[in-house]
Amino acid sequence: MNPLIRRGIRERLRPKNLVASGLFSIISCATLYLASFFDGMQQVIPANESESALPELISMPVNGAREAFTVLLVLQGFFLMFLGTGRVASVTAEEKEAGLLDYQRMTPMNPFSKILGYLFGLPAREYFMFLITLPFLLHCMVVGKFHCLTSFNSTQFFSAQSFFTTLLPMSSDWWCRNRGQHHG
Amino acid sequence: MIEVKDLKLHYGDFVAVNQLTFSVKPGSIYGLIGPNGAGKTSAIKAIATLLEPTFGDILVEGISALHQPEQARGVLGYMPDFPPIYEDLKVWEFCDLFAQAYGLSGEEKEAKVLQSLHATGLKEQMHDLCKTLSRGMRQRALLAKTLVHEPSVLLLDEPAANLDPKSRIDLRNILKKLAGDGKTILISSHILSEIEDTCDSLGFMRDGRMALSGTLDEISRQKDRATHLKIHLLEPYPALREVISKIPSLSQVEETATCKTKFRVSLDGGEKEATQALAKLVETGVPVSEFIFQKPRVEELFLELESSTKEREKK
Repeated sequence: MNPLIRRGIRERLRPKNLVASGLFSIISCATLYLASFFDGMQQVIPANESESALPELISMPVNGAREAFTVLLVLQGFFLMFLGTGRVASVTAEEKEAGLLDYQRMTPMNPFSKILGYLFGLPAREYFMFLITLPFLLHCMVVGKFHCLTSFNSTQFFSAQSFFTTLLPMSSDWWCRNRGQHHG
Repeated sequence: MIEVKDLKLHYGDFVAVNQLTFSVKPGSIYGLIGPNGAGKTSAIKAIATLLEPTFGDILVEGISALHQPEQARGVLGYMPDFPPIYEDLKVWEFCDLFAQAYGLSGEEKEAKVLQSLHATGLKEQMHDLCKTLSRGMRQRALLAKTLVHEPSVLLLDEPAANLDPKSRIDLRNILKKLAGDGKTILISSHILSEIEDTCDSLGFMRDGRMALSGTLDEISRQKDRATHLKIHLLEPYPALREVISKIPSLSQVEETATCKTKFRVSLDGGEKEATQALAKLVETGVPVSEFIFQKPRVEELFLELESSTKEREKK
């Protein structure tokens, strides 16, 4: 395994971190999921104009699951794009300032491994929180009768977005550093 | 082996290191001394391949740090001043991270991690989180990390800064042991007594240049500085001055106490000449009770150098 990813796991996923972040993720995810699911499920069927019947309130789990699906994607985006990106940006900047990046520069690891290590190692806890949301998402997909491709595309879109957002602070930092070196 | 040849390093228009030339032999500890801004850290960073020099060459174990930095890094171990540490890792995990980063794996990796922790006396603290370590222990953890891939050349920037006396003595012993194992060690420090006790040879840097370099004796000679002998007698010996005048390497006898048994004598030469002089004194029948070869002190040399530089600047 990439040593920097292993470092991230060791640093950020000790048992007490796992319990705390796991609970936070489960509670926030379950709350949002249930709230949006029940909200979306209650649907008012308008009264038939030809008949003088009253509007009817019926239960539509499919709609609930579909609404919850969107909410869960937003939550996943929050974990990866907001918390994860923030973590990568702040830690990279801190390590550069403190001189810890010099240690990495001295090792024979290739730049690609270092990038992968920082991208997936530093936000290890955020990835764990993201993983916890997946069973809820799966439930939404089954109950909401999503077409596999549709849900896969949405998830893929968010994951790719998160990945590139995380990449942004790192690349900007490197760009600034290189620019600084060239300009003395 | 480290060889630095005509090294020049600019930060924009500012020349941090200028025509720096020195070499460090395998198995020896070389100390870089100088005031703040003398260029010590820049020179060490350039040797560590972290700064690109403007001019000159650096050879580490025969490998050019400028042209083959990747290969050079394989034999280098670098410990910066104000050394940072991964606070949330355990000590063994910190070493393990770098062992893996240097391509070690399996049993070999575990053995090297344990070996470096053992060498730095951190075996008992290996399961402690780095953030719980004292300053001295952190320095040790960093040294352990630096040693984990068994580099033959160690670059240590202010390794004893802010350490308590016990940790300083421990660090000195560790470094001496490493040098005894054949490692080439380059240290920069402000603590002159530490340099004096630890290093075999040293270099005085000033304004990015090497003002003086060599062993203490060599530097003393370069500075035309007399070495002194402290001679204590069992009882007064009236003919002492006459005896001393017949020994070519000895001159300028000064009485340091009124009891006529304690003298300070100038010596022209080093330890070899001192031994010959002692033999001659004993042979002549001088009742020598103590004979101390007073090595020049780094502190004195440093102050002399500083004052002479200031005088030159005034002119």
